[in-house]
Amino acid sequence: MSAGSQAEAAVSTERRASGMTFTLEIWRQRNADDPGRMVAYEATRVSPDMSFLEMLDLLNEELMRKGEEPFAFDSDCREGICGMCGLVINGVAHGPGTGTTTCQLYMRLFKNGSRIRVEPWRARAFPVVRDLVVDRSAFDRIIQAGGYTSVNTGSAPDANATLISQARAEEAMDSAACIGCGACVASCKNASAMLFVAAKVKHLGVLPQGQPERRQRGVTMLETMQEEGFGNCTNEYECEAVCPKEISTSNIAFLNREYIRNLVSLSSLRPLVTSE
Amino acid sequence: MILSSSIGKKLGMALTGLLLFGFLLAHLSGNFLLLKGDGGATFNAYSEFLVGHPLLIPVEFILLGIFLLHIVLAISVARDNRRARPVGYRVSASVGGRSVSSRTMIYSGLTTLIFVAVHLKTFKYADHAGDSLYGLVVTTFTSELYVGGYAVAMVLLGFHLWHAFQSAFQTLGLHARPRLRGLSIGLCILIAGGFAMIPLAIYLGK
Ligand code: HEM
Ligand code: SF4
Ligand code: FES
Repeated sequence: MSAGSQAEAAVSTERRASGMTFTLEIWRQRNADDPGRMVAYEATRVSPDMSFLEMLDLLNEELMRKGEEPFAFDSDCREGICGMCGLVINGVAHGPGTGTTTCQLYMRLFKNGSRIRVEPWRARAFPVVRDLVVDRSAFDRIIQAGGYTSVNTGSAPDANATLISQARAEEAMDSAACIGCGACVASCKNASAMLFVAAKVKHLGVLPQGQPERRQRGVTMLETMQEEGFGNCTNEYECEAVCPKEISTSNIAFLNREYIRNLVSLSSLRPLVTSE
Repeated sequence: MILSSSIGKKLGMALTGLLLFGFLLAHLSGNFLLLKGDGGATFNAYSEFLVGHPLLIPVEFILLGIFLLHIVLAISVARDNRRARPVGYRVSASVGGRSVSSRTMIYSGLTTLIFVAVHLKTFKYADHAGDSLYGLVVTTFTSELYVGGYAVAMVLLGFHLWHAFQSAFQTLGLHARPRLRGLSIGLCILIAGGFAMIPLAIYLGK
């Protein structure tokens, strides 16, 4: 063990014993009509190994012990795969740390004694339900508008019935990694859902199973995105920087190409074939 | 229809924006004739050639259309985007690709619009009977106020072009930002710096 990491271990042992302390400013809002405000709380005896959500749980238990009303926040899997736990922490969606959801964010990333501001996703299309909880059902409606494929039901097809190259499968999987958390919207200065829509359109669009609806998919999902009140992309690339699944904005370029391709292809009857 | 959709508007802006880049480059090369040091003979000849050209009026109308379309779409996009987040963050930080240039597009665009209006009034629709265009340019650029204002306007235009160039390619489906970074900066320095340098050279040469 090097001297540096020994010192680090000593510090973290000490912190484990006494715990870390933070001043949290948390957005409190009773319901959609309440204007809401930031409220400050002290979080003490926080272990550096706690996740951000565990730290919030601890604080809520403390509030309940004191007879105060706990604050509401969302979570489900707590392992970075469901997309429920979005919070804006010190102005950054899912907080510091790259490629992580809030539930996978650990308190050791924060400076002991620092002030942490926690706010909900902000977008017209994601209204606040209460405190830190927002309604993300606009994303469901975008998916309903085109984020699906039509398949025949029945017994499972043979695994080798539809051949897909490794490279193509990887490309589709990169886009399919999107968990619909909404951080892209939260971080976009235009509250645009372009990265989310693009990830879905590309994921399905590059696979043979996605071809039947390929022509309309981009258009209908995009129309729904606009109807739900999300903004327009202005290519500032804030979304990919906070995306827990590191979805690249090259997906947005793909979506733009899909749109152009639809405009310029002369016959609406001609099927779009994917060229490998 | 196309121009009411989110990507459609952006495509319109990207295409009109790139055409405006083309116009700026052509305009700049014409302006360089001012520096030829021949008392304006070449520049005046060039300007008379343009004014006398039968295609000038149609081309001007097309250019006006492109410019107006760009502005109308830009305002529409900016308005949608403002509405998309009625309640903002108390604290917000940028960890991605936002820049001074990208966050001020609508302002650098609008100052460019004001500049263009003043510029047309000064040079294109000015009453300069008895004086050549070269003469008018040289007299105008004896004023510190005008030279300074011109330089400021060009810096703002430069900021607009910096984000605009790479953004237009992404909108057109070419994800090439890292490769375009050098070209983007180079072009905006060439265009903004080139335009700003001419009045300065004339002013200092006097
Ligand atoms: C005169 C008033 C102008 C206004 C109000 C204006 C406004 C805007 C705005 C708001 C954007 C969107 C920025 C973004 O996507 O983040 C934009 C993009 C752009 N502008 Fe302008 N602009 C003007 C003039 C110009 C001029 C003179 C040029 C040409 C040299 C130009 C070239 C571009 C380009 C290429 C884009 C990128 C389009 C895209 O993102 O896809 N603009 N403009
Ligand atoms: S693209 Fe990334 S940030 Fe956006 S919803 Fe999907 S996982 Fe979340
Ligand atoms: S709670 Fe499921 S991703 Fe965080």
